[in-house]
Amino acid sequence: MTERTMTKVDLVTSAILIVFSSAVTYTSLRMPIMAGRNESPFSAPGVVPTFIGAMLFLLSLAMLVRSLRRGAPGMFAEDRGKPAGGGRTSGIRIARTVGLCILYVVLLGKVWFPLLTFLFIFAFILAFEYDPSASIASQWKKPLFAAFLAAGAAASVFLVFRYLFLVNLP
Amino acid sequence: MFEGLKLFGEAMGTVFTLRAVFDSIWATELGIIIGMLPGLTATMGVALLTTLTFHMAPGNAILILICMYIGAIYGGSRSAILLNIPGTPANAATTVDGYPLALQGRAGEAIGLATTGSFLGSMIGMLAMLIFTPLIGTVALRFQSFEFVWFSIFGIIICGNLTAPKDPLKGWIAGFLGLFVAMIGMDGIHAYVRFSFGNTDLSGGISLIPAMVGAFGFAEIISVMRIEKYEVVKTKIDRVIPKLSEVLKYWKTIVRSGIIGTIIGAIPGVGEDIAAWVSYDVAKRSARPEEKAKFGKGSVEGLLASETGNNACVPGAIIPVLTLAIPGSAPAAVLLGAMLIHGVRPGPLIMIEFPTFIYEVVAMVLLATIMMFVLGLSMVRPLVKVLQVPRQKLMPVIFILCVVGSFAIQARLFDVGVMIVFGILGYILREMEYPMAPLVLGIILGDILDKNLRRAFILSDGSILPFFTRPICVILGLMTLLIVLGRAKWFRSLMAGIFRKKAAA
Repeated sequence: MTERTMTKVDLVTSAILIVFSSAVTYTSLRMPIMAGRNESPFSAPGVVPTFIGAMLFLLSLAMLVRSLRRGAPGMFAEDRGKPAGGGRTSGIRIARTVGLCILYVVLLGKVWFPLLTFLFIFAFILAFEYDPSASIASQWKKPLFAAFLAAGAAASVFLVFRYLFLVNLP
Repeated sequence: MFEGLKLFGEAMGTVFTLRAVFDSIWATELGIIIGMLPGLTATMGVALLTTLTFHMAPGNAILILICMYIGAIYGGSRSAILLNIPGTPANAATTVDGYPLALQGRAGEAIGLATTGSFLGSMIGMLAMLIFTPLIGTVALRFQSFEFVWFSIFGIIICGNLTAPKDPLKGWIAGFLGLFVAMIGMDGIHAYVRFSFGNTDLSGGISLIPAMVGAFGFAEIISVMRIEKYEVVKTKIDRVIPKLSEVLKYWKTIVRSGIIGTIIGAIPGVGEDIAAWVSYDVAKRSARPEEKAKFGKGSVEGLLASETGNNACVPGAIIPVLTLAIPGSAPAAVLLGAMLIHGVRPGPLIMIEFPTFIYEVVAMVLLATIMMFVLGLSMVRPLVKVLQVPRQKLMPVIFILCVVGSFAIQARLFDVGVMIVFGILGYILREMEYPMAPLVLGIILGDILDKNLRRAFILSDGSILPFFTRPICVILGLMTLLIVLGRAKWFRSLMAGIFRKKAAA
């Protein structure tokens, strides 16, 4: 990230953090002081979260002031209409990784673990290795190899953790 | 002193069993492999093994984790030397001179020197651990809630300051965010549920291990998969075992880097990467002019300094874990969590509750260090092949381990969700240059701060005076203030002005 982009990002982040820390402080201040239980008000559950919320607020405010001094609002105006930085390819790769992983977690417990693990590893390898624009004949080995590896890995993980480490599996 | 040596001797007898030797071989080798692979860190390795070893006896499990920790911090030097990519952040300084040495056709020699430096660094750290842990433990017995409150705040501030040197504000924000995460769930005094919004799973709080597996494991997977192509090893590996004369020539650098690494390790949350950079920087400043010219171009002294520093940091980071229950680095934070899972309660009372445990941990560090040295100098060529495994084949398997690891401890799918959320959050925060170490330290220190601040207020009947009048509190408070003010431009120019006036007078 360039310094310019970072300044703009800092402005947005600090604004979000100010709202967040205000909410933390407000919620903490509304927590009971346990006076009904004859407890000291200093032992109230909201004491420390209030302190943390206040500190976060001050630090976020410092970052907001710094971004404003560095001219972040002006940068937003200048950069309007310009294409956003950052590679498209890496964005697609991140989305593919996160998407596949989340899908796996969502299906955990609903599909038999070894089968789901096999499908996940198989799909993951192909998602990054298989080129849809190339002919099937030139890359027929890739799905075969991915299936072989996925089956081996899924079986190993299942057997090793279930029977050797005695770990509960989803 | 002699009582300590006797206890250490007894601990060696307990730890050095056939089973322990077997466990230490595979765990250290696995650590070296994990450390070697760019994207897989020591923290991730220790966190994953914590979840997979929690059915084992505490002694075996903790030994395995220490072997993984030491092995991974050392293992990262391999890819730093061969690929110019640090295997773990701790080996970033190693790339500066390690890779140029490999380019000169001295890759094997560089690996051998890195192994020797790591071994000697670990040994220096281990000696410091043996001498200072019982001493600090005895002093820590006098600490009260007021001191622990300052320790928590000081830990966050110094960790944020050192892990985000470019922008400490982000380090401090990350630390306080970690403290907030620790507030979620039932509080430790009144059992009042905070920030759960009626969610039963959140009422139990956010567990440290799934959060760390996410922040250091899943976030790393995203980072690795983002990059399309990875470097492959092109250099040839020749003689690995270094010449004794070459190592002895730099004995001063080795001892100095070992001491620096150990001290930095003992500072809460700072970690091995900072230890390596500081050791490297000090070695460069103290080098003779003809040696100084070689720094950055393949200096043996530079390589030894960084590798000695980062491995000396490992035992150093375990010292505050045992005596104060405050981790010196991110992997040490997981180690602390693992000790708690296994029923060992580190902290000021450890010398009373588990008096032999400190010495057993020192013996475990010694065993792991010996294994790291032996394995580091052998099987170098076949192990390098691991670096050739394509990332798209390795990462899904690592992700499965992250999932199993998060799920294993409490058998809750909620923890897998926590891992995913912390992974995505960790990736975004890292992209915005927020360091992860203060966040993790915050999650651990949150509970300490919560209980001790409230206890302190009850003890003083709401007065804040004891926080500023007790001797250790005054020292910690002043240090915290100096760190914060030291980052302010106006304070630095004010100080510079004062010193200039004094010099002129």
